[in-house]
Amino acid sequence: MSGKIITVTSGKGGVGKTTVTANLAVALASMGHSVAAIDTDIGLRNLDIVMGLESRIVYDLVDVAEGRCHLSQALIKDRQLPSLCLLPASQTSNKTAISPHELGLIAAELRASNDFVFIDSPAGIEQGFQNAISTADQIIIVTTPEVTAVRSADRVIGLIETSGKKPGQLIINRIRPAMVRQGDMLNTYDVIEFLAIDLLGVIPDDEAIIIAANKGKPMSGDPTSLAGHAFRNIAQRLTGETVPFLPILEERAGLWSRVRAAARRGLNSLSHPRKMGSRS
Amino acid sequence: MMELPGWMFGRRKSSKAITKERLKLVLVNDRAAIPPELLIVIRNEIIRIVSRHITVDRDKVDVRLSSSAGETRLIATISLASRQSAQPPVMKPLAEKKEF
Repeated sequence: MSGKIITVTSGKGGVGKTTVTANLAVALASMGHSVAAIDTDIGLRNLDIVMGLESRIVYDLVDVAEGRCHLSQALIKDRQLPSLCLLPASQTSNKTAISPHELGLIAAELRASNDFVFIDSPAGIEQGFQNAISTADQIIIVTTPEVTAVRSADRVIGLIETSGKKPGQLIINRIRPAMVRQGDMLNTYDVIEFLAIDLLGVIPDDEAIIIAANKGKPMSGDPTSLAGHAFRNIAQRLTGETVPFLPILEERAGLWSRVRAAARRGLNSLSHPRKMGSRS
Repeated sequence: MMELPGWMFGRRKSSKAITKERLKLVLVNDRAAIPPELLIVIRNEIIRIVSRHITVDRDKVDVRLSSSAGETRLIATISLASRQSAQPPVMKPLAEKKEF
């Protein structure tokens, strides 16, 4: 077996890399694929807690890289999904504790026995990020429809291009349909127009994601949640299937909601006059 | 579909439209690796050089990057002072060209 190594990265922190990694790993494992997830956010590990495996860590990524244990001893198998396992990050070392070469060897070994190997990248564009993308067959860039996240994603896309990797694919996380309709949030088309890369999926903002993280049970298995549905669709796309995008957010707002939005903006701007910033 | 002009309804610019404009400018600078502070330096030098010959309105000189169709341009817009000074600036020969 020779699986695919997929790195999930973003530049900016807090846009949902870990949530995306956990949910895609769970969705693919639920579909019957064997999946390994590597948390490379050394010093700030979190994938273990989102996957609900934090209490079972014995060894970690740095232990494996430095030869203190065998890879199989550090892997934590999910109890519900036996085809899913996690290689947790070290919480005490720092991001330079592992080299691209060492991570490459570990990922290659996991690829030999899994259909998918996910690498959850740390935030930032330094060594940890470079490690995470160096070994990837495919790169997923996570952003949110916010100006800060899109700018960071653009930078990361440029760095991936510079590194000689093939272009990544984009997941837009935490879209809020009501704000898009009011003209207060970038929509999918806007983000794609700026970043000019392929879209892998769009995930609506969903309270169920926070609740799932609270419980340590990624919610891509939840049939009632729209975000869960979006994650399952993305997982299917990763297996090569063509799945249409959810018709959630993208229809143009009707005249009535535009009038309401305009009226609200009119009122807001009376009470808070907005001065346009100029960058000159 | 015909879009009615926003002013007919007193419609304000949406926050999305504002963020798109700002993001566009920021990304052009980021991609060219030319920070805004360098543009300010360039702007001041342009003012200095052009002012030797023409009176410019210093507050209305705009230097920015613009990107379209895969090409990035440096665009300088220089407004002239509404009334040029009565005496046209003397064409001072440059020091290194004294031999002419």
